[in-house]
Amino acid sequence: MKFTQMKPDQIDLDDQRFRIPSFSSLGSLIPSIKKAGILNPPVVTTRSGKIIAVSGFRRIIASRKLSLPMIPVFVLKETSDREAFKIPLYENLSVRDYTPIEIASIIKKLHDFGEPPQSIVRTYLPLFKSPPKREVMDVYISIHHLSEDIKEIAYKKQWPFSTLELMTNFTEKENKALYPFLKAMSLNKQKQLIENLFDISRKRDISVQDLLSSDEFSFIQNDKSLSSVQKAEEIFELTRQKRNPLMSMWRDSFQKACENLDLPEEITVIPSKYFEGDTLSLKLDFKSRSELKKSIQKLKELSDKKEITLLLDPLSHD
Amino acid sequence: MIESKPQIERVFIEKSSSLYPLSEKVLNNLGDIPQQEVDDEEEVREYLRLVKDPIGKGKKMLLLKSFKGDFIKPCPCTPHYLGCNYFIINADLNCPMDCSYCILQHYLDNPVLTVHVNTQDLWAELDRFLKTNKDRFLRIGTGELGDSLALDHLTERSRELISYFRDRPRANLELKTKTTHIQNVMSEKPAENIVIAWSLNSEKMAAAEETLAPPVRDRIEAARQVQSRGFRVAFHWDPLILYPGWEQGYSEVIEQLSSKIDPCRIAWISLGSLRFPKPLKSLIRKRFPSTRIIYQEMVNGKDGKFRYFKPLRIKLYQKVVERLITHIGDKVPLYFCMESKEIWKKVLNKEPGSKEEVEYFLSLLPRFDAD
Ligand code: SF4
Repeated sequence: MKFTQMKPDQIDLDDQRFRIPSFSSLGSLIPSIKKAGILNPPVVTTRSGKIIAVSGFRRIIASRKLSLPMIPVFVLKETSDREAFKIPLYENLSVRDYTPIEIASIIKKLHDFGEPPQSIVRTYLPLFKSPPKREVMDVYISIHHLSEDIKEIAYKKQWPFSTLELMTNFTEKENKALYPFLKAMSLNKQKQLIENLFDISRKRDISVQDLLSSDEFSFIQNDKSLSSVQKAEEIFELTRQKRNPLMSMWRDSFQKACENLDLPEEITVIPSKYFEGDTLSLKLDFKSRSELKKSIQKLKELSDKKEITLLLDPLSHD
Repeated sequence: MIESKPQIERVFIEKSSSLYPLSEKVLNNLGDIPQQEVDDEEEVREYLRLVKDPIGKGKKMLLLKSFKGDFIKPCPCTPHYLGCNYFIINADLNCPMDCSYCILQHYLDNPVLTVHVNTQDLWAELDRFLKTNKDRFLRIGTGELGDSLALDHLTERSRELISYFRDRPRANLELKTKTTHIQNVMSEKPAENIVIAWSLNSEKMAAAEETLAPPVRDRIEAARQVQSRGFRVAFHWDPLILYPGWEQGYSEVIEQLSSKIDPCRIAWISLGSLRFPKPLKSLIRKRFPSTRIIYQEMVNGKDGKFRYFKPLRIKLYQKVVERLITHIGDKVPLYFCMESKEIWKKVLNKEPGSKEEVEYFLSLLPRFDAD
């Protein structure tokens, strides 16, 4: 590779064949280049008479923004796309791990550049700490085809491979319908919402957009008094209820039974996780011996109430 | 009764294992099928990594190899739920049938059908194992990491196992299957400690979820024949699945069972409901896109496996147990696979304190002469 200086404008950034898409902003790159210049020169090459970037897209964009007259570059001599692409691939890998969205894009590009599937599976998947299996490669290629909106959320919230894989089962329309809610949620809720909506839609054999346009969901979406975050929250709750109706009823009845017992603030009854165990736990807060005595007395009274059995089998009165 | 034999497309023979008598036997029984010698198992694994559906493909390929590890292991069961102290013999691994819910899809790290051909090592290990455990009843079987009879037409392993265990009456050998491959079993002399078991489901679930497995009526017919030959039989209602019409579906099969099988010669019946670890859910989704069984109301159990919400499980079990007792009486030992003590108590009104108690309860012989 030849080292030289070049005007940033000379480089055709429209040709992005070697670009590993990034949803991150230029962030600290501009001040860093402003202060120290480009320490790691981008790599460029020629295609159809134009100079195009092989690596360092963001550095070139930043230097254009800073109106730098010249920047240092390495010029890659004539080589195949497949070989050239390995430069940005390894360059980034030497400083950080790729996110699943980036891996998806890399795998797709390697595939399109003619890298044989065996080589992608055996050589590249292990580089990305992914299981070296053909089926994993195929999932990454499907992930690459997700909409840009969804990929951006996934990139920013660092969705794991399993969530992305599930997302690939949704149609494009379903992806679109989901986007506004996902945007306003935390990672954990995003994962659960996707899983729950998928399960409900498959169980009922209806699409996610049909589900989301059903009366109950539409009601929330059209409620002008709610912010987008509140709407997302309500949609999340409703989905959870619909996914596990009996457990939701069970949980509500349990809470009602606790309320009916009129427990003092310092006494809490805690059910087992998902009501899977057969014991309840009791939490008792106290600051003094007298408070403890008072609570114990209260507990004695409570244990005589027949409603206490409702805590163990909250739906038994139905 | 239709006998469906697996479609093996290719057989791999580990170089160092080609001279074992069992290798020869399997190759003879296989007939004209492409063979390939491999240095080791890794070569097959590597091949399967490059195919789109390694699990599906692995079910059509057979590997003959010798096993270097322990053939006999305690059944891993599942943490936090009550086990039954079962032992498993890892003679053959994997299964040519393709049930959507099969745990082996997730559990086995090599999806190829595997026959361990170093049988002499197995007998030696069994000798040692039975000697060490000579003072207790044992239940031991080959049907945990595969189907006990699915490859039996190739290996004829059932015959050797039955012969071996016939003289060791304190150990109950269970051969567990969904197939109707009973030819070899039928040619053997029965013994009280040899139990041939079938996994059952409703016909609807069998047709929808148990690809390549015979209809349930054929399994019951095979059990009838084996029972009339003099063997004790057992049944595993596992996994019981909630689907629209489950009550009717299970009732029908229980009625059929009771009309064909003599309950006095049923060694045990186990019950278990659908459960799976999270990674299996995505595998099922991918490999069986039309299945709906994974979308019922489930919770993440104490062992990290998804299972039906407890009140649903209790209802499912109570109904099935009630039908079983109505049709086959209350003398056949019923037990749960991977369930909590609470469920034992609520459904069977039994409170075994430990897996040893379960083991003892299932190993008592015979059961009906007291009446
Ligand atoms: S028959 Fe048993 S071992 Fe075979 S695929 Fe079905 S569940 Fe798995």
